[in-house]
Amino acid sequence: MNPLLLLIGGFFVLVALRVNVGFSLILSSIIVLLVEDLPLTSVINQMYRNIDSFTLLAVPFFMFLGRILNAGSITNRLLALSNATVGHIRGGLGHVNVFVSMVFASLSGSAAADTASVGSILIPAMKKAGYSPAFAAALTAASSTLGVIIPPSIILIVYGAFGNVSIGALFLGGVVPGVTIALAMMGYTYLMALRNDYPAIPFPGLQALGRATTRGMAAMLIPVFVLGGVITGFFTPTEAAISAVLWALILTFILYRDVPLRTLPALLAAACIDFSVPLFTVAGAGIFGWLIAYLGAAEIVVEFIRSVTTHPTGMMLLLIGFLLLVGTVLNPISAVLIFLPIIQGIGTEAQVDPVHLGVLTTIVLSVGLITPPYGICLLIAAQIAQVSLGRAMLAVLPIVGLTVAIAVLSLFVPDLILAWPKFAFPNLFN
Amino acid sequence: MGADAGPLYRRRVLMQSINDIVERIVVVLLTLAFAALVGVVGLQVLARNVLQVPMIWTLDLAQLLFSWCIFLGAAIAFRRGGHYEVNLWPAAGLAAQVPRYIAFAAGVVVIGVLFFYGIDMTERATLRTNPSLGISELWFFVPIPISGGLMALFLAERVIARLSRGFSR
Repeated sequence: MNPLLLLIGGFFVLVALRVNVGFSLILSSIIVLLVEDLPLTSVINQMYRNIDSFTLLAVPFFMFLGRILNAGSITNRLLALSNATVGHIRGGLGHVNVFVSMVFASLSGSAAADTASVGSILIPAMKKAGYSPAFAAALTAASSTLGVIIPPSIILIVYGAFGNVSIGALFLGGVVPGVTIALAMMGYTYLMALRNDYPAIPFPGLQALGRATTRGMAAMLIPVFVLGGVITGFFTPTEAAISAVLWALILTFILYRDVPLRTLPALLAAACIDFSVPLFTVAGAGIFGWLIAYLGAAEIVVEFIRSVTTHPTGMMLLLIGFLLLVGTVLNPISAVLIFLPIIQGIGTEAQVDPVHLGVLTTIVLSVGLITPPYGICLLIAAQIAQVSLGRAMLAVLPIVGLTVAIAVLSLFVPDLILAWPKFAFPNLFN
Repeated sequence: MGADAGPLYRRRVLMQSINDIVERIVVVLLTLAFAALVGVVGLQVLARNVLQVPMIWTLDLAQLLFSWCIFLGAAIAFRRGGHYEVNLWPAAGLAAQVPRYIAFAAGVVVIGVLFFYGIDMTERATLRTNPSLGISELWFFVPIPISGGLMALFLAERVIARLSRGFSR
């Protein structure tokens, strides 16, 4: 049997049989190593090598940041700010949902944390205000995927670090499509509100808006110095992440004193177990990705795609389809690490700019967070809304369509992604 | 629940309480390791960006702590059922039994490789000394076999629990 087919096929069969994703990556690799008569110590070696990266350290810090924001009052302050800003538009709570996720996304870059925290507050509120539970769950889940696209995004960091692309340029590239997708979601919410007569929240007045802004101000400093620091090169992403963590710790435990200091150890432990799961799959992706490269998968896939079409747009559309498929079972970080050679191989073949390719890949993989069978954000949101996964899925489909449409649009209008990076890093482009 | 007083049940309770203690100890270690990680990288930022005195040892120490956090954390997540699973397989009927055996077999193989080949890698790293920390590189690899060992304990607990309840449920 072709070892490459055995590797990828074996992985999908194991995942379908409910073996966890990390173990499936490792086990299918073990099988291929045995068949190919390669030493099994490679498993340990490559697993370790994949996590031996200072840039990857940004992941635990951004996930810890998510935990801190939720433990204290920071998430609530951001919600109040969103409420005062967009709540008075028709379908108010829906807009608040998207807006707060956008803000949250610019702070922490972890999607599941956003679904859980925003969802537990806004989904019950939306249900009470007469929104359909399925729509509430779908919108919450979909809007939290903005965390993956809007910087600082963990996926963009991993993509840049392992794919040799400027992380600052990727960050800037994610801003416009991220905000565009957010606006599209708000537009869709507005249409749904008109159709189903969802209410608006009365405008609280300029004074209240001012008060909410002041109360949220200190937290909003985080994106300013994280993005500013990374783009100017003052901070590496990991340094920016730790600075954000320290600032959030100071706010939560010293300035606001929302939670007593003795809860800190529990917070640390919870965050540590949180990030160990995706990073264990990253380690597993080490050996799996090494085999993918060893078996020459990139050449084979590029060759195959060239036999289907040689048109650059056609090739990119096939890549998008492939990433949508992969994203349904793999978390975006592992997907990037495993398939990076294939993604970049196709990108080079289709002559797409590396920064464009990175942001596009991230947008498409973010959709996997809300599509079954493994759409973690949708699972969390459906659970909070107490609605069946099937109904939440149906409700999320139009939003998935919007996101994919914007990714496809960027193929025809590359400046949707590249305008800002070109402006800030002119020497990266010729 | 007729098996409540049987020897299997007693073994199950024993195993569970041993693992409860193990988990508690590992969680304390994790908390300390992650706190140290935050501190070390915080110090590195302060040194490089504010004091302008780059430190090399902080990078290596951060990597060491990172490795411990990931592999020990993954073992705890394994006990708590926190790893990513995909729910495609039918949850009812005879077919629902299949994944249980597959998961067990997969667990044995993966955990075995993590443990035995992890020890192998650790032994090979023993003689190398990390230049900036002045300690053996075995400390970077040893969390992998430890993680394998912990997962083996937790897998055994699951199997005993299953046996004492009978395979019918």
